[in-house]
Amino acid sequence: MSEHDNHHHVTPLGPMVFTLVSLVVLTVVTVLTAKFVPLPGSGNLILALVIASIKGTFVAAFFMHLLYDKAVNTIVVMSSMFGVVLFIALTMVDIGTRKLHEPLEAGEIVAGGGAQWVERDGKQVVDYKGSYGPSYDAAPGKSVLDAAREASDATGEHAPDADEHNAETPANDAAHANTPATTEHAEPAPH
Amino acid sequence: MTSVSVETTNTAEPHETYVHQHHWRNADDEKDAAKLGMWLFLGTEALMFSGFFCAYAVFRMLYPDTWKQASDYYLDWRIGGFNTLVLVISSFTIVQAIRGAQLNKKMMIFWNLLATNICALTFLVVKIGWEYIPKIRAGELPGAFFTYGHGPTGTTHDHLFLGIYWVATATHGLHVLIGVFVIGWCMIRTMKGQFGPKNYMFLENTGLYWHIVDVIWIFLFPMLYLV
Amino acid sequence: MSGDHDASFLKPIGDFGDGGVFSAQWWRGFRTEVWRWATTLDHKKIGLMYLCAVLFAFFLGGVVALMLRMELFYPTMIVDVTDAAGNVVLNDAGEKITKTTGELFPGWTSSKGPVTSNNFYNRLFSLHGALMVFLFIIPAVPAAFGNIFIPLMIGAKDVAFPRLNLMSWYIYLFGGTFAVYSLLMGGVETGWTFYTPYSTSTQWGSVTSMVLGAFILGFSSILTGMNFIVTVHKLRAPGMGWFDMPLFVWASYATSIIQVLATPVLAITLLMLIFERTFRIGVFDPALGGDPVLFQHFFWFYSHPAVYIMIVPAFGIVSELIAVHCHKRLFGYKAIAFSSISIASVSFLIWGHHMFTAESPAANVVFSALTFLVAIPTAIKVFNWIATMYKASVTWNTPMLYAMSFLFNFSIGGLTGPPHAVLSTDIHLHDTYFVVAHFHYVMMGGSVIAVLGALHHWWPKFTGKMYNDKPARWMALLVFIGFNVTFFTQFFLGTQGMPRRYATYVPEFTTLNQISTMGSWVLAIGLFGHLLIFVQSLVSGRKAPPNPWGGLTLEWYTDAPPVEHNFAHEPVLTHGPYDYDLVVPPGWDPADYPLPDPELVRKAHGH
Repeated sequence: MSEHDNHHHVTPLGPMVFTLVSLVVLTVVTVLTAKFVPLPGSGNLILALVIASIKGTFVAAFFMHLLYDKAVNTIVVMSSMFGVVLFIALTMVDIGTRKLHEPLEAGEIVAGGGAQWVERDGKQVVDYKGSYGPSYDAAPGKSVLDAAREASDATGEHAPDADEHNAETPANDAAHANTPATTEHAEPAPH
Repeated sequence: MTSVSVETTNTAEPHETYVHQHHWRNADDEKDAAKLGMWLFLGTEALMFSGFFCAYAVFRMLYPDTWKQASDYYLDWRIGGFNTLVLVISSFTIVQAIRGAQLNKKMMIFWNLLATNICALTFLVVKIGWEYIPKIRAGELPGAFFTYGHGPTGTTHDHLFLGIYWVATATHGLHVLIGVFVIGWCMIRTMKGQFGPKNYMFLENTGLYWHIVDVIWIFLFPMLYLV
Repeated sequence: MSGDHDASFLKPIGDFGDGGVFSAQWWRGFRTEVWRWATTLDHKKIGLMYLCAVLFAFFLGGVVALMLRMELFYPTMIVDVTDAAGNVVLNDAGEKITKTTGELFPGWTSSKGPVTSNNFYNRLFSLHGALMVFLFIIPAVPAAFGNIFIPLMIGAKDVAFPRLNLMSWYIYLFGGTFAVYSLLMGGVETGWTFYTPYSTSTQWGSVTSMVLGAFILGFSSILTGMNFIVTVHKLRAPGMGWFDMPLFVWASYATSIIQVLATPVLAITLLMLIFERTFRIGVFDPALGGDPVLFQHFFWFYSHPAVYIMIVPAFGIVSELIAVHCHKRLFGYKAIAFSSISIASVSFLIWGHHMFTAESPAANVVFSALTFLVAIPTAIKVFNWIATMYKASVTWNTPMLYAMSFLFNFSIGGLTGPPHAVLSTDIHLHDTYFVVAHFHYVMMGGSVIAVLGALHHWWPKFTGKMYNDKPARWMALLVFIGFNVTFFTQFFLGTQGMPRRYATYVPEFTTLNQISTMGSWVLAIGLFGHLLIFVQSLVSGRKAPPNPWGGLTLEWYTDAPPVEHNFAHEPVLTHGPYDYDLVVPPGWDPADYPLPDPELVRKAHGH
């Protein structure tokens, strides 16, 4: 790019006219596809953003001379675009995955976390649904710890009654109802 | 690359006596540095607007249906589309202004800058006259000033959409307005004969700024008006 | 300014003619001089003005910190704030009785103690955080030391855009004015992080003007960063390639990248917060479908990289201190240089670890895993510094003591980071004093200690005066002890579950809190001692030689203080920045500086 006394870089006319024409055409295409070609899901959004990116690239490469400039300017653009993408993408990772586990409600948190004894097909099984933390489905069962407490209570007195593990018993009620003194050495009940 | 080199030995305009600032080793370094600095600034601009894009993306993801309804209801794509074309053309004319400086044609610089500024003012007039003022009259304003009544979505997402619409377009509009003044300043400097093949750094950086304003609109337009 | 090329840039200070102090002639000279400084384009003068401003902010923030520690000396709260007429303004619970502005000041004058209500305590720690982060530590190294020394170290006459540099200084002042204004109008209670929804809903004080102040300060930071990147790219002395740059320049370059890429997001975040407060745009307002946690994402996208704006230049300083005062080639130059850049890159990936209790579990896992990455380049640096000191002939003066202090404190600060990156432990430690201790070990034990080291290291260069090294060493020791007593106890408090940001605590924590508070007094005495030593140096210090420590980087080649345009002749680089085994330092007698056999050295290094 070193500039001698009598040599100057002149922006070529052809590519600029080409860019202008393609920008106009792409604008028309964006409007037509978005308004008159309904695509399923987020199809229209993605298509519009892809077209916008192409337009942006054209402006940067030709109008803004990135194609004819030193590479360092392109590196600057690339890193700031990297920042933009990172910012939006990682924020959406959080917001977009909130619904993956069921939201907690006050009063639902009990000892023992998300893994619960629930009744399925007439059998008691451990459900690890929502293994990130306490999580309850529409028919809450009993937390593993609660089941263990009950079992250790039961071993001293009477055999565990299967009906007590009824799916309709709310888990937090179970937590309040079963607070025996000897929870330290409790073990999960073998069913 | 398709960059062209031409001889311009027969020009001896006053601006050819350009002297670089004392702490630079030569004018080329100064020019490259000014351009690099401008690109860094443009990078910050992009990241600043990414805040709006991020907010848009999050709420578009959370409320896809109401968002689309609000967009269709409140915004007219014909106005946005017209403004897009205006900005695209203004981007082309400012490139031609720089070309005029490289070819040492003073009036070519001037007329192209004038065309750019006319486009910019058109953008602002359309924006304010056909969008902002009717919206303010109808009360289609962000949360605290929203008096429109029952919006199309039947939820508070109307407020949210209009909130992002107003802050994003107003911030962009402010950039356009600043651009108008800077380009006006360039026109004055052109008439003083300060731009020529060796000294069009300021003009070129103004152009870069103007293009980023254009690029941001290229993204804002489909996001807000179309999808 | 002066046409005389050999004139020191500091020459005319205090010398305003023969008329005597406060004569008409003196005032004329004084006004001219003030005008010269106010309109200067000289990076050294701008840097010095920055240095004075940030040290003043540090002083204010430090006084506030002492007040906070005083309050925590006893577990209970001292009650009832009264105004001058004796009316109760704030009751025991910190509720306002009557609305007055400037309620900060009734608290100052109350006879019942320095901190007199929960709200006042909230205001104080917010003030401490905002002052220290936005006004002191972010501009401290880049804007103050970077401004003075980057052009000197790369052999340039000035920074790339001197006018932009002056502008960034005035923007800094302007933003600082907003911060002071909001302080006078009652301050903020939100903490320096301005978390929503409290910051958008509170009617107390002047959140808007404080946020506006931080917004403006951000622009100052952006302009400084842009300026340094271009300076490093375009103004290196002839012969200086990328790998001939001193590591302070590398670190500042990495910092500038973060400043340029991250700060705009802070700008838009704070702008949206202002819009939220004034227009209720709803982005952070759950009542309108917005999301308060989104603010945390926005905020930490800037503020986590900002943590590295605070610490990475300190790494650069420590590299310089260790190389110069050990008189040894830095071990792993390229590794240290690249680790700065990789810290800058990784810093953008890990902001979510501030929100482990707020964000979705899937995002937690992603951010937790990414957070561990940053430990790698940091460890590379620490190991290289230690390897440099191995078998070196170390000069145990104040800057070197501070470098050692940095290594000790920063290692603790760094190693208490991974417990926060691990999800399970972080949930336990979140918002406890463990976090407070961790980031003070990095920010104060790392950055501030490095700033003090840099002050002692470069003091002779930019003032032209030597300071008294022996008392300075004692004060360095006091600072080290005071700092560790203050903050190490807080690790214990945190693991025992004492939450941060409360004015009171349960009586079980009393002993540790009292030890911590007493440590803060020792720290204050040490810092005050440094101030006295510096004042003594300015008043009656002996003249400094250009190269008192035997450094090889370019700033030691010019006079002390440097001449108007830095160098009498443009320097041409003939050796690397740390070729201590090949070159006798400028201004030193070869008899005092026995080099190893150059041939052997050359072979050993493969030159």
